[in-house]
Amino acid sequence: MDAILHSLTYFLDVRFVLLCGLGSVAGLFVGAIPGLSVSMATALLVSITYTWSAGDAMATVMGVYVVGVFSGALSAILLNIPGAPSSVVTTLDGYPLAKRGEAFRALKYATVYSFVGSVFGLVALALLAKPIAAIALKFQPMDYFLLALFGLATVGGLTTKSFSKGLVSAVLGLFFAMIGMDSVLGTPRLTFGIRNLNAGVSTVPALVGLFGFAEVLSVVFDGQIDITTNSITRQVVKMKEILKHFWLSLYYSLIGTLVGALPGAGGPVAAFLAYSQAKNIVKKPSRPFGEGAVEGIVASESANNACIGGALIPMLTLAVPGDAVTAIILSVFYVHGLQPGPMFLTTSAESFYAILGGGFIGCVFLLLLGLLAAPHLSRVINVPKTVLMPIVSLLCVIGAYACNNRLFDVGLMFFFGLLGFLLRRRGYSVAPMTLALVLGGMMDSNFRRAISLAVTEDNMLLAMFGRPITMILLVLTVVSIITNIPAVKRLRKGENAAEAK
Amino acid sequence: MENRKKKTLLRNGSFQESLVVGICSIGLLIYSLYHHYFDRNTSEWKMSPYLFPTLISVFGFLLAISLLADALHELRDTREAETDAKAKNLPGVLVLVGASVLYDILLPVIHFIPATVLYLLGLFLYLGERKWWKLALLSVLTTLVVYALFGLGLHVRLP
Repeated sequence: MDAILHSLTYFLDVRFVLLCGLGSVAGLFVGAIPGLSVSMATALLVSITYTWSAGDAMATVMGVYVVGVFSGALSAILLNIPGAPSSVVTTLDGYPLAKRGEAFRALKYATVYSFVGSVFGLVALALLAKPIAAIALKFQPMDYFLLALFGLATVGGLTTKSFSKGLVSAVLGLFFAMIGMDSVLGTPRLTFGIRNLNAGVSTVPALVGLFGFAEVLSVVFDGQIDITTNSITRQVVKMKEILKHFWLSLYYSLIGTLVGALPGAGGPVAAFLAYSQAKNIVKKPSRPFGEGAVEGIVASESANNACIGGALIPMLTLAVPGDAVTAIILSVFYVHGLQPGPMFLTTSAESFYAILGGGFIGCVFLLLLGLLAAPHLSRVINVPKTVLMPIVSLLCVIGAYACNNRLFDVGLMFFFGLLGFLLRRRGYSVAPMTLALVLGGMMDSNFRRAISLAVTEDNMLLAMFGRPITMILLVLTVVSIITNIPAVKRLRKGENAAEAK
Repeated sequence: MENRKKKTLLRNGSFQESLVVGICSIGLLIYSLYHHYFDRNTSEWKMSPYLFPTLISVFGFLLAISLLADALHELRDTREAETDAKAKNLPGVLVLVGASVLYDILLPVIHFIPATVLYLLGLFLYLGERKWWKLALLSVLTTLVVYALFGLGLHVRLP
């Protein structure tokens, strides 16, 4: 409760509120315009906010994050194209409503319940961060290694259809994270004689390439250059009618927060889970689900926005990001010299409050922008990609250059852009690679530290895996890997089919 | 519209990927072992900088086998392989990458503003903008806005 009260004092800081507002407006556009994503915007922000104070950077990033996740619903409703992956479910009922001329109603529901979901997730973050950090204080090097491995395994399993492909993406990320000066012995490793790689692969150009430039290449490759939107006509939608679904939305928000806290699951999974729950719970929807039921929008938007707070819990307390955006936010922390982890709440309490404050202010901007500005955005969403894509690629160049002032990083960004494009075309998700890039160094050093500590003990295996926390993490990791192996999946499918017969 | 192609192992995407992943993993394993045993600064395995890359390479090799198993499973599947016949613009991607690399080379030679105007002009033109006044306006105005916003306003170092 203390954390919430402390974070609310940021509402009095005019500079903080303005920067958060700036981020929120940027988030509204990047989330709403198909082809631009919150991950891309956050990756670009890392380099832009490089010289700023940590507080200013947090305010802007949280504004982009909170409003960007919501505004994916705008294009989902108006174009039937989700602006963000987490808004996929919103298209199911939002677009049919827009086709009936009720786009304004759909937008209002999406705005209010995105707000409810976001606030719920952030309150959960404020309440749960401390107890989780207390548990994390007992973690030893092997636990950190296993936790990161568990994260990579679940991300690999959930973000692509093929588990092998998810893990290949993670392995690629780990390989790139190994390049550079070894943190223990101080010798160059895997640099292949390229001096510019001695400092390692900078995360910023890599992320900008994987999310920004790769997106530009994909749009050009697919030829999706022009699109048309549904128009919005204002109509009276009473707040009393909207708030009828408030109590159920808290349940969907709880689903979103829990799913968000799981590494890799994120918004799309949360929205699908909440939607299927809504279909079971709501017996008499306003219209059948899939044909414009506002209950579907309530479920999807509450859950996917609640993921924001959920994904921040493991990121802040364990330094293990829950999704691609939090992985990028983690690199913002590192750029500003902050160390998320179990001690974060003690050593950098002010930064924690700043994140919470930024989140809550972002929620207020979400409500304001969603109710006042979003209905006028249909023209902006329709901006031709012939204009948008060259500008995005220019921003990628600036973003890649700005972090180290080296043209080498621009080349690196192009390389990762091309790699991200090729991986996407082959059905690989870049999310596991992003997580592995950020976590790779930590995994390497903790693994070697754990081995060094264990070899001095009589029973090496017991020293490494004998503690209860380690055992739980080991079991979780092994189960997560085994249940995702294609042969095991096929076996289980076969058994289920046989049972059904 | 869908193209139907006869399935063969060599045409299978998972098989091609398993080959690439397998070869890269073996390469990384050889590289790591060589450097572990022949570099002057490397110590015993427990602290070796090449311990983790060696593990990654072994894991990568196992993944290559897993991809191969996927490929064989896909081949056994009786359904015919379907490929998306929608027009894809591969030359567009190559042009964009080429233009971007050229831009990267031009930046230190002719500096940010002229190089960016040329880069944007080329991209707008390639992506279908034909009105000359719109081309000129868009490329010059975008460059100046970006320069003012990032370079002068936000103090971001521009290339």
